[in-house]
Amino acid sequence: MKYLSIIILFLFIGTSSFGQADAIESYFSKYKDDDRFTMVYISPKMFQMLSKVGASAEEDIDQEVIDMVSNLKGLKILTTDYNADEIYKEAIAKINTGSYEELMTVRSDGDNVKFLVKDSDGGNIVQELLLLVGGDEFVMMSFIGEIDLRLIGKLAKSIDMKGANHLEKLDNK
Amino acid sequence: MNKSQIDTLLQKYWDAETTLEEETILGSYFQSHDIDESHVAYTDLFQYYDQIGSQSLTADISLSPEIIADHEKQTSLIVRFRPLLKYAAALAFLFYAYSICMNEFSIGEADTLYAGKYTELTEEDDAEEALQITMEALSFLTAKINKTEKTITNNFIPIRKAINVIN
Repeated sequence: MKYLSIIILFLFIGTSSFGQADAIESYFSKYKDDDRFTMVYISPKMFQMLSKVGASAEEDIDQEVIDMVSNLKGLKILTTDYNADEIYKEAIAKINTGSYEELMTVRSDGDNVKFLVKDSDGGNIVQELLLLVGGDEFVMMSFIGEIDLRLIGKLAKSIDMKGANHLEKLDNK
Repeated sequence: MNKSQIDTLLQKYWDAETTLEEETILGSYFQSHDIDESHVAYTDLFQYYDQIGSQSLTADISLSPEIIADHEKQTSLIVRFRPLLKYAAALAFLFYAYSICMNEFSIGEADTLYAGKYTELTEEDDAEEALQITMEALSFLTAKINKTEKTITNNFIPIRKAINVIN
């Protein structure tokens, strides 16, 4: 009985520890090789190099943007305009949004937008910011790092997007 | 031992208060031929105890195959696999430790940028492109925030109108 209890306890803890991080990871892996999706992954090591690149860039980059980028540790993007609504619903179902704190959800003009944060400790700094968009296109963006939500707000006012050469489906509205 | 002493021991015996030594004394008394008349009635009892105590079985006891088969059927799964449980517990612990390590020290992520249909670039090219993509991602995020803010603000217009009417 003693051994049986130990077995059940460790199996339960072991399987539950795979948890949420793997749910997003497995979702990305599912569509990684699907040509209908565009996937971007930027690793923590890459972000360490970015801050140096940002400082020496020819074009002027706002200090707020540089500060924001230097605090990021990872970025994952998944986009498609194939069956966007279905993919959005699938993402909501597969990714346990219960483990995130919902910041904002808006539905208008056929567009569904959900902002979720993780590990906020009640403050303005979050460990992950997850953006889910459904409608004409499906977009999933996961920003990982020490993200200051107040800085995001400031960026919303000041950032100037220069074209969309690399991410074809960006929304300019 | 005299009669009164035996009477006392017997009384203690009936009250289940005798020691082993006292019971041995009683047993020896009733084995002897010098038993008082008032104690004769108990002779068979003490002699029976003595006979039973010295009996031993020398024959083999073998259970019938049916009884053995029945017993094995009734033995529960847990009892049968009990010796293996400690190994299963050790395996479960190792599985737990492995899953913790995989989460803490996740390996295998590419260091360079990988963007869907793009081929891998050199590290230097990756960094500049990664910065551009990050800035565009941030633009997209902030654009969505602005649009959301506008939607919320627009929805407040009817509420403000209603408040003005009330006031």
